[in-house]
Amino acid sequence: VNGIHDMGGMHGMGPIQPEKNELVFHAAWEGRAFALSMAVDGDWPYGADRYATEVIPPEEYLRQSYYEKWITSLVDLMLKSGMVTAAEIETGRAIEPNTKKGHALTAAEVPPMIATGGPASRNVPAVAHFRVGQRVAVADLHQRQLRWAGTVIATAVGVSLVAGQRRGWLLRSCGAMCLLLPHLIGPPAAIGQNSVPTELVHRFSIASVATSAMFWLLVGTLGGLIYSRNQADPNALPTV
Amino acid sequence: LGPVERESGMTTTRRDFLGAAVTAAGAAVTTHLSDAQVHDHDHQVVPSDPALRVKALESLLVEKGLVDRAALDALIDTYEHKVGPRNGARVVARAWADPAYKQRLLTNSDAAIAELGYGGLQGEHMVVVENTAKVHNLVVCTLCSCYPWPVLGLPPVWYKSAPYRSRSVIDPRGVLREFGLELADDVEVRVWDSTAELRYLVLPERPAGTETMSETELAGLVTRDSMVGVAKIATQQQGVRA
Repeated sequence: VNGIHDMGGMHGMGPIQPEKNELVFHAAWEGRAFALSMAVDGDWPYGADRYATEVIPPEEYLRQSYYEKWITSLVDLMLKSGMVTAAEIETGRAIEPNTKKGHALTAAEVPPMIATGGPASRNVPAVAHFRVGQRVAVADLHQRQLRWAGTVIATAVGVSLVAGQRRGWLLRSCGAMCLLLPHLIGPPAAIGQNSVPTELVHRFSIASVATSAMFWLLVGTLGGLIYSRNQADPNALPTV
Repeated sequence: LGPVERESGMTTTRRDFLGAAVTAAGAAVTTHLSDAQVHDHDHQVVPSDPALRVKALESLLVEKGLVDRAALDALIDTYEHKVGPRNGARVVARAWADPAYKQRLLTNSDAAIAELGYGGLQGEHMVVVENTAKVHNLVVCTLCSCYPWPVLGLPPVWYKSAPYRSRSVIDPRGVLREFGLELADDVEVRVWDSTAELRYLVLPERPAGTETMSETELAGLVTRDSMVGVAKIATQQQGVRA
């Protein structure tokens, strides 16, 4: 989302103002705001706090200091999750009983929480099929290109002979032969030792055949549909 | 300008037609959603005095049993006194003193940093980028304030400020000049835009004339700014204060 938070490349924000001997927190409330945001155990999903900051209206986003924005987003999230009510935020006193009681972080739990963090890596149980540097056998490139071009030409000729109007059985048979021939000849053989697991080769064959079949069925169906629509009423105006 | 890594957009991996269509549809829906949520926020009350507001919030949350004051104190104490740029300085000094460690640090930063006992919150995944005579690295977080907490502590105000976030990616040399660092034209500048999940630490160049120094002495030379990439280290320079 192209919001105010996406500041990379914006112009006109003025000079950078580094401070000499900057304090970690410039005032006590900054530390409290920081700690509150870290300690509250909300039920919102990962990244919701970031989003809650990003949707602060632009004029407010620019006006509020860093930890003011933290508090704005924290309050916003707690209101939405029902941990606090607007009246409670207004008065600073508990009115409603706490029904969504999150676990209140204890001082003893702070060091392990900081040491562990929340790693974003995912445990992917799958084992890679290939390793870097592993050799795989493929057919000669020129032979593959030749076969591809040959198949396309033979198929085009075959289709025109089989599907064309006013063709005798002999021409249609030749057409059928043209269609079949490239598949009877088969692809050029791979050169060298193939270290690809057989299971993977099978899965690839099935997947590629299924994908091709679906593609051609779709092309055929659509082609037929368009053809029959055009045939149905040659004088009809094209529909918009 | 060198590689700029962004988190905000989609990943640039291969997408098939269907994926693109779903993404486009999703983007259209998301736009509407976020618009609605932006309007939601129009009622947000402008806090007159953040100090009072935070105080009221804290007592409310304590009263409701949602936070424990002792935990707040412990959090503040940790980042005021325990976790800070001294940690990063030790990592840098070790890398200068021990070539094998430096190699580990550049190839598997998290594991190497963990050897010195640092890691965890807001630095779960860190990448160390090395400055050389011909390459200068600069770290920014254009979207917010992502920073490697375990080795540098909490970021300074300028790092989180609009001027730094906006300009680092379009005029890094200008930004460096504002910090008093003029780079020669033949030095390549690489700008690293941090994400919540991936944070960067610059390994500054070891200054000349420090060959006889101990690791502890070396650590004393390393400044926070040099580990963000807005400064170089001079031998006479004072290092980060504990």
